[in-house]
Amino acid sequence: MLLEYENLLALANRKNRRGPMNDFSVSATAVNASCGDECMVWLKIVDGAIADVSFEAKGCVISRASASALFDHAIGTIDSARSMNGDSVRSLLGVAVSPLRERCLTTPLKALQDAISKI
Amino acid sequence: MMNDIENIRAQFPGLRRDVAYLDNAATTQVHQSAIDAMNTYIAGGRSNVGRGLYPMAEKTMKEYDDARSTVANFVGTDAGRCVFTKSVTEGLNTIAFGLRDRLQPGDEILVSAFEHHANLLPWRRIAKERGAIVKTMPMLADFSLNTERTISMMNDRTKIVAVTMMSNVLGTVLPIAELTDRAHQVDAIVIVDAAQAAAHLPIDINDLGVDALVFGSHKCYGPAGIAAMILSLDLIDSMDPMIVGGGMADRVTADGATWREGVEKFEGGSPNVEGAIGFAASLTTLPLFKGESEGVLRSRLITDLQSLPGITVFDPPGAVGIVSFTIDGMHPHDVADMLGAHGVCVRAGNHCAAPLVEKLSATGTLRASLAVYNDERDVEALVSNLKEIVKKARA
Repeated sequence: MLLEYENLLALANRKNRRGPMNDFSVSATAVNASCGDECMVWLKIVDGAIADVSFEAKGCVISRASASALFDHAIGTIDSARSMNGDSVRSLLGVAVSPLRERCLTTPLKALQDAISKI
Repeated sequence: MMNDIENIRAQFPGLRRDVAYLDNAATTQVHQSAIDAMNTYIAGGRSNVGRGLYPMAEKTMKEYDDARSTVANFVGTDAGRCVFTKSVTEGLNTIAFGLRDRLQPGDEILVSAFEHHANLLPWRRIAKERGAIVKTMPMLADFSLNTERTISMMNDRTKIVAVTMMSNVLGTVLPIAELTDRAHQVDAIVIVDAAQAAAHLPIDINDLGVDALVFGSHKCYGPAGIAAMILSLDLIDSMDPMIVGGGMADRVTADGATWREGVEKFEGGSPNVEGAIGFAASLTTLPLFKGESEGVLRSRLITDLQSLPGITVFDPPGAVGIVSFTIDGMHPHDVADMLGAHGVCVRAGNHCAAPLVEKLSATGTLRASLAVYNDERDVEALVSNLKEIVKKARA
């Protein structure tokens, strides 16, 4: 478990795709009140596909690691992002995440799918 | 008196030595006496209450009535003031519903800074409906109640004082009798949430003088799904029931109905008979344990926690049973998750008391809460695992 925490922490602390995007097409924010997790995502849509993603995430390590892994993966077709669920994010992280932390895990995905729904 | 910890632990079949169960403020393990009482009742043949006219129904009615007397006696009163509800939350909502018509625009409801959402949101809702104002009794810097300021806040606009007897986050004990004296001077009704207090403090409703007091079974070593709402006779007579339907109506005509008198008015629907029987059994056992060694163990817990680097421990004066803490740079849910994987059960987050916890930490706190069956081994399991987690996370 500690090893998993260390892996998640490394993922959570990566500096990939961080911060607001100037020329974004859509954005959304999702929160998980139980952990105080908050995730904002900005998407640039070109020819009906996700061409660029940036985000800001704060909260528990699972939520932040989930955001880091998810948004690296999100470039591409909107349909594949739309069809993702908690298990999809779980497999991206590559570590066991308790079902009790499902909302931590899926807060970034909710932000992504909320943003997509605005396209 | 039982004072051997292994003897005590043997009476709680849900306990295991490879698990340090320190989430007792959320729910306790069930005492064998409650399990036995419920098993005996169910296996002996059950019926509904207040409906059947056969001997088995008569037996059930007697057991339910006896349970009501036992639960009422636990807080120094009699069955005629004890209503069974499914939870403390339902009890407090029932009281708020019953009092809503007494409020006029501009009237004030006082709640404390320590309230669980169960004793906050019902009052906010009826205040909004009636144009009343909810005011908060403030907390001092040492996490105790600012009693002096609270007393001065009570005036002829104050109609309801809704207050917890013991904080579910900090273990702070509130001066209920003192608050009640002042509240009654201004003719305010005093409602007490004793969900946490019931397992840790002696409660005599006559000494406290309050108008209503609610406490539940599952934090007192009994089954879940059953709680007691103790009401003054005036409130029993004057409050409208929140739940209407079977069992609580006196006369139902083609276009109207009247309610039964007494506590039955508030018990619409088939009651949780086995729960009431288990609740009563657990309360019969609980006084044997109260005040044993919990204070000593809590002090040890605080001292050991304070030896860890980067930790903040919240320790209000006179607090009992509960210790909240935070660790610099670590989210409480992550820590609780890792502790859980190592067999240590604590709670993390806002503990359904968000306005209070936001004053302590932006991301919530970790909370270790004690019960009669905890000992040094549980504290050692918590502290040694915390030490390891913090060390590796910062490596």
